[in-house]
Amino acid sequence: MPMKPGSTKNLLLRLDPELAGRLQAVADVEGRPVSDVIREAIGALVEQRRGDERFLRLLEDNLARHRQALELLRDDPQ
Amino acid sequence: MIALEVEDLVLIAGRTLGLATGQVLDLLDVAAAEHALAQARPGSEPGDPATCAAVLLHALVRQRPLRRGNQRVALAAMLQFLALNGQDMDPGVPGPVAAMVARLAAGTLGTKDVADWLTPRLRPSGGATRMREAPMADGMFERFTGRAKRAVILAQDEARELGHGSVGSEHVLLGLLAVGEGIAAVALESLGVSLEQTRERVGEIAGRGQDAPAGAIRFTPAVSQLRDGALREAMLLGHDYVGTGHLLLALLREGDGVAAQVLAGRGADHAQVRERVLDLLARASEQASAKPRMVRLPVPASLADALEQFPLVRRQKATAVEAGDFAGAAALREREQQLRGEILRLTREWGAGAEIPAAIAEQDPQVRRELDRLRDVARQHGINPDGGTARPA
Repeated sequence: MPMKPGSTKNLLLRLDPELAGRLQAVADVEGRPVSDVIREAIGALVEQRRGDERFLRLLEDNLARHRQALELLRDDPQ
Repeated sequence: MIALEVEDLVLIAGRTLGLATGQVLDLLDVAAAEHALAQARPGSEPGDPATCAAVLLHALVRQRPLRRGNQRVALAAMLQFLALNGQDMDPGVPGPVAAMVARLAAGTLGTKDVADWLTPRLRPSGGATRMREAPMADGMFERFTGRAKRAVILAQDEARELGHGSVGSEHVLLGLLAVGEGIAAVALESLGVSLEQTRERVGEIAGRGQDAPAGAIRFTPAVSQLRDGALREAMLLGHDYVGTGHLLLALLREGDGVAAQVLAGRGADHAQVRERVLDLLARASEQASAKPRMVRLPVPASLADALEQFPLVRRQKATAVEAGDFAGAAALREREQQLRGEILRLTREWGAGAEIPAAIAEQDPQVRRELDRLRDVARQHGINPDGGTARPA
């Protein structure tokens, strides 16, 4: 997925050496920045988490039950 | 306690702000998110839910991993953390909740204030009695990894879904598969054991209840034995934690339980599963021991300059070739060779003078072994690694 201009940033992550090596290898082979590969890896983990039915059920319940409190924070600049 | 990971935060942010994963990633400072979540990750001491939730909320609000909607996502993340750990916050107080988050962002509230505020507003989720029976409450599973704990919690859900009034080892097997990651899930899936089929088979063997039990779901003695068995497996392997792999190894020892019958029915030979788990555990241990380490080596400026110039010259040479500037490429090739010679010479001088290999070798047995091997190779080629010329062996 292409990055928007100005949206790139430095990443400092705790990676085990094997994972860091694999990410670097993927980045080298595909000619992309490591941060781009990390971004894609997080995206894949998110998709994996989407399969956790319990996690999603609890999230939907929480968002519904606390909708008002979350709405009150909507206009906050943060 | 079940902690949140970066991917959990991305998923929560996406649902809270109504954004796709890519849009959340555009807003997210991954390093800040990782840092905030790491601060809130419970240590080995079992913390109380209010304090852990307060630390998480404080870290997310103050470190602002999201450029937009951060406070809403921080609150949603805290609520999700509580829910995953069997706690609900009273939803009847939207105004004060929002005010509390805003004061936290302004720095006028601290973690302890938030914990004090939360404590009377928390209640066990899924009915007042359910969490009293939850495994994490009494430290029964304190050496368990996050995934192993999640498997046990999911085992309760699986029992409930099947309408069973108690949690047996078969539900733990389902929990291990439902986690979807970790050594047990990987081992089982690689041997063709799937969650859906196993769920179906457990229903056939153990039957299905009419309704999901409303109250507490107790653990059968088989689960206590399973927990002890998993601890034993971990100890035998010299591990100070109990993961999903150890739980699966303990399940395999069960012999005649429903879980064992299900595995046998799926054609998963016990010895084969055990071998697969042990193999994965061994690999995980190897990876865990390969911690990143930093060694400070003062490199002479002349060598550092040469090392820096070398790849630049090579790139310039490639560009010159591509552009058809062969005279330029030839000059750059000469420079490249000159630099290579310089690097070799300076490296030799530096290594001889500073005795750095010896210093590192002393710290790291793996490096020491490698140096010994290289010395042997040098001697076989008639080179005395410690100076002078050796006689070929």
